[in-house]
Amino acid sequence: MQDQVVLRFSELTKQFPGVIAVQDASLEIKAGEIHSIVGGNGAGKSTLMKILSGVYPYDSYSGTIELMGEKCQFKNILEAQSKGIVMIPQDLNMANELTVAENLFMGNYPNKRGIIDYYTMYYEAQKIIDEFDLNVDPLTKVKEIGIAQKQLIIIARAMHYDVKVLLLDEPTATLSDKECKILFEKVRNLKKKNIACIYISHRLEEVKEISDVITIMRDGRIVGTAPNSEMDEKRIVSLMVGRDVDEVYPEHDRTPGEVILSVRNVTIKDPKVPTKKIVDNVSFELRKGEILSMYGLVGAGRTETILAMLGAFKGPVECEMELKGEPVRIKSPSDAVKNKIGFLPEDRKREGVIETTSVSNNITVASLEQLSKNSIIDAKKEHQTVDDVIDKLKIKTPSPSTLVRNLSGGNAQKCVLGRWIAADSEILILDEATQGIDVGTKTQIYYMLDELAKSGKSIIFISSDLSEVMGISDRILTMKNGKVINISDGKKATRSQILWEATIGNKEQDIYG
Amino acid sequence: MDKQSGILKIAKKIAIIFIAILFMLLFNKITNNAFISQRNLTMLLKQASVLMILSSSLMMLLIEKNIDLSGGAGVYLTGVIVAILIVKMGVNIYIAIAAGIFLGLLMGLLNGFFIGIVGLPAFIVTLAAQLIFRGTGYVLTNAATIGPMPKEFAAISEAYISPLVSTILISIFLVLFVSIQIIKFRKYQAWYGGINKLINNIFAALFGSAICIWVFSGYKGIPMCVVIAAITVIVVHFITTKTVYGRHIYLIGGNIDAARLSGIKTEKRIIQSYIFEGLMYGVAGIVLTARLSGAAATGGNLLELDAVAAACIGGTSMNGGVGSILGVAFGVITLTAIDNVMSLMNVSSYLQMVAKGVILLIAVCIDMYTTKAKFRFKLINKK
Repeated sequence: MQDQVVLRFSELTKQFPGVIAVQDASLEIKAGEIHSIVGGNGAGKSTLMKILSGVYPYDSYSGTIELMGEKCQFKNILEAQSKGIVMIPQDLNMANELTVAENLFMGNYPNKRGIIDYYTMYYEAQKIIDEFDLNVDPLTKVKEIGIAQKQLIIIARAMHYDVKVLLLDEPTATLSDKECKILFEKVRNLKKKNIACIYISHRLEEVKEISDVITIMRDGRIVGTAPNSEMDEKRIVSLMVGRDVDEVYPEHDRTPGEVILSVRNVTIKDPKVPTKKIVDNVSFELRKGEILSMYGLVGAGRTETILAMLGAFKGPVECEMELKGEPVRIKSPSDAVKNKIGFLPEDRKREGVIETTSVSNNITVASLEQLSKNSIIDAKKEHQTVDDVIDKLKIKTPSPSTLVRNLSGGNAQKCVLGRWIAADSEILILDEATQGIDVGTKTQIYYMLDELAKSGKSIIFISSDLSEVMGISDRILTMKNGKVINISDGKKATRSQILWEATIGNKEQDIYG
Repeated sequence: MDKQSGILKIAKKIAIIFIAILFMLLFNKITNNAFISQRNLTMLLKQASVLMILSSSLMMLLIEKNIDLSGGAGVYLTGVIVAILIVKMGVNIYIAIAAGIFLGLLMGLLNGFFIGIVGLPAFIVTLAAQLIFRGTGYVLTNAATIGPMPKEFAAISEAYISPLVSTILISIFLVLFVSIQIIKFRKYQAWYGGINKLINNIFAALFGSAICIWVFSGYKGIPMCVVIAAITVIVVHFITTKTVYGRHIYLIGGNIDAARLSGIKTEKRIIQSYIFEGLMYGVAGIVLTARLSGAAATGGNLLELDAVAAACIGGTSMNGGVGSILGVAFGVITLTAIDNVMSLMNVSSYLQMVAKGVILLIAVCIDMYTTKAKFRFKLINKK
């Protein structure tokens, strides 16, 4: 039973007008196997998932899909689900105002002639919750629970169907390490039920940790498949990029200058629990020409600290700042911009890019004041600036007036970064700048940041990716539960030390020796 | 590839012009040649002017992802105050006009305060404002018509620039436009959008001015209300394409969170937009009162919804971030032309409402379909 092939697809090709998203993809997935598919942005992973899960109807691509030896032609998602292929999408579609139980049974509520049988529903929901060890009350509203639990609820919801293949598209993108662990455990449990998982992720460590088989895609093609034991991270990355990557991170020998920004006593109280502090007395200094990383698990209070500094936190905060030795009061992001502080937010789509408008307009958002005279935009100056930024950041766009929504994620992110280069910000704060971006673009961004730091800009780099924190920082600040644990030298710090500080919350690290 | 898509674009434009001409001819046919007469077209433009003034500022609110339901009422209240000041109280015309504009600004400020600073939803605030404005007007007039207005006041809308002067003005305008385009083409080069766009713009200008000259030289010339509407269009075009404020409203409508984090003072911009909208209440109210020579209780009725319809037909996105004044002008003229044709055909005004609704639906469907099709088309071309 274990080695039975549940899903076999051969020569799948999906063309979008102008691009071939997936080309001649053939693969076999065995029952009870965790099969990871990795690849850069635009490698075709998501498109492949959408073909398999019926998002794209069978006549919109070529090639064949066989499920348990039976040829399948799905017209829509429902058909694929009823046959046993279920996708857990990247953005969780749940009704936040409804309860866990109501969400669990969404689509097929237990009912008597159209009237919902709440008793049965809650009873059944409790059973599912126990089975998945979720530790929530079925009557809790979904908006009150964490993302990891939401994901598990969606997976549990999928179990209504006789699932044979579960497709997980970047499930851990927004999870903390601990939440990931829980998710992985559940995914491994599915093995026992002989359910195959296709797992898509950018995070290689995770892929290594969880997979039985790893498949790498690049430019729409499958470029390599092998059991986990035969793949190491270097090989995966080189297959993903299509060349050997040695220098992902720039070799840096920067010498930071005087203190440019000092932040003192940032404190934010939890609006729900007044005794709890989301951010507790955080103080640090930033030097000229330095990259200061902030590392911590999700919920450590890094983003909140930054939002408080920028006057963008919704709620009362305490925060004292000195910019170049002078006390400043920043009440809103526009004050921050005036003081030449730029901020690249975590959620690119929601807070970063402005998708309805052009690359050019996205780049000049924060510098219009400098590019205008008497509130009238100097078109020539604007064009010059935009051309410079596109050139400098190597933004791949057909033209500056192309809408940003037509660019890939990495290029869109470069537009947001370019915004602050156009504004000539002295201090750049980047919150998870490389999240969801392919390896090649990431490298470009690292080199760009190195160059910026060398030219005297100061950078605060928030990241949950330990490798990149280790790779590019002058100093690393670790946070846990709203407190600064330690600030250490980026070249002397070790991975285990940083991880220890962020997870355990103290400076001792003798456990790793 | 570039050339091809350029040709396709031109082909599409020619097709649109062709269809527009066909429709004009059809309208002409069903109205027994009454539609395409210089007199009727002048009347049509006069009829369109108040709607145009209000729509142009409403467009900016829609781009900003806001809305205004109090437009018609604001226009009415301005008209009432101006009419009362002049007719009942004998106030000097200029002072009355200034008062009307000031009142408009105040109304805009009221909306802007509650939406921008207090942070209430625009839909609710402007709905309340609609009731307040119109109600105040009724209270002041007992829903009676205030009029007639003195001739000098009516002249704001009803006077004409003589045909000869009109022709000269339009020609000067044409020459100015063409030379600015050529200068821009030389200055911005790649950014301008290629020689095709230059030729395209010049042809469009030639075509437009030829029609204008034909219409205005054949009847009494350019009506003043059309002049005011045209100035509004030009001002709004300038604001939306050239100023920091104009750029900001597109960015706010596109993504308000991103705009705020990029240092845009969103509250301030929102208040400014509503104040501009208020200014347009003032202008439109004065023009309307001058045109009707009085403030009637039905003045400006449903004008705000016509303005939304016109903006929508003109391609302004209800999701914010997208819209252009030329599109809106097209929408305004389309809506008015339909009114005009049906009036010429003696269709009842009730049925006209039904027809306008149907046309709004069709227009939005076509718009959605063609933008989707365009997207597909573009990608096919790339290959």
